[in-house]
Amino acid sequence: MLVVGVEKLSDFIDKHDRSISFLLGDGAGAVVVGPSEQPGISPSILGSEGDKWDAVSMDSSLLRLRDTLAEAQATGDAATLLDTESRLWPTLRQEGQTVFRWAVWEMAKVAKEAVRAAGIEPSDLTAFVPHQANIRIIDELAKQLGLPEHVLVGRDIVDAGNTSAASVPLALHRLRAENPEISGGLALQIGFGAYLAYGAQIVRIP
Amino acid sequence: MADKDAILAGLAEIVEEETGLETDEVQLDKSFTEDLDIDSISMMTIVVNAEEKFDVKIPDEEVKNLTTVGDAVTYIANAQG
Repeated sequence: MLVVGVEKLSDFIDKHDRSISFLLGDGAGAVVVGPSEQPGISPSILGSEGDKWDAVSMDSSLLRLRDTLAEAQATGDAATLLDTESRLWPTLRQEGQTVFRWAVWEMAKVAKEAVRAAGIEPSDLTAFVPHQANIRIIDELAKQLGLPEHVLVGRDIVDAGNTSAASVPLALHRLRAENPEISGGLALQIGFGAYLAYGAQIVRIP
Repeated sequence: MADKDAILAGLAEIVEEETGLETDEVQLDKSFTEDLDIDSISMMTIVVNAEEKFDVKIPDEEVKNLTTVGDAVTYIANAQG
């Protein structure tokens, strides 16, 4: 089975918005999941924080744009069409402080739950590969987890930016390429983001 | 009423840990952003650590109202009752 994470966020940024746009990048990552004699993927801790759904979200939607454009096309007014597209083209927005608090202190709880659900201890981990949201989040999250010194932390964001759904596979790939000895070890992965959805699990590094 | 001097001293320790600023630079009339050069992310770390230290809740929407150190001390004192 091929599992793919891919994003083209450059289509959905407002270059005048300093709160998020400069962090984002385009990217793709994939992994092949196959049969194994030993478990290679732990139970997953999944969820979302619905009451804060709009802390990271799009400010419009492609469906709304499509429907509004269809109405404008009926009038045949080119200027109206262009205005509609620039006004309703969706871009990603965030409440930075709300997201930071949630991504560090709430996600630390989720990450710890994933470790417990896997029946391991933090000292059993070889690597920590969080969603590459922001280096400040990564560093504070690693601090809050109190991981042992030997646990390598993925920080691919410094080059790739925040590639959303592609960030965990890209970060894991880089960590493994730079430290081939970690192959076979256990990695704690946690993804989180838009609409404040999240997922965490332990995987055996290919 | 909670002891505001004690809250200021505790808050100054939190600010020092996050930013490296000396505790005596953290005065009631200082603005977190203008005087102490604390950005929005560091501010949130300070808020969360203050919640833990003083056993209070500081909602996200209140954080933007905490312009000065004095604002934070007053908020914490009131929240403690």
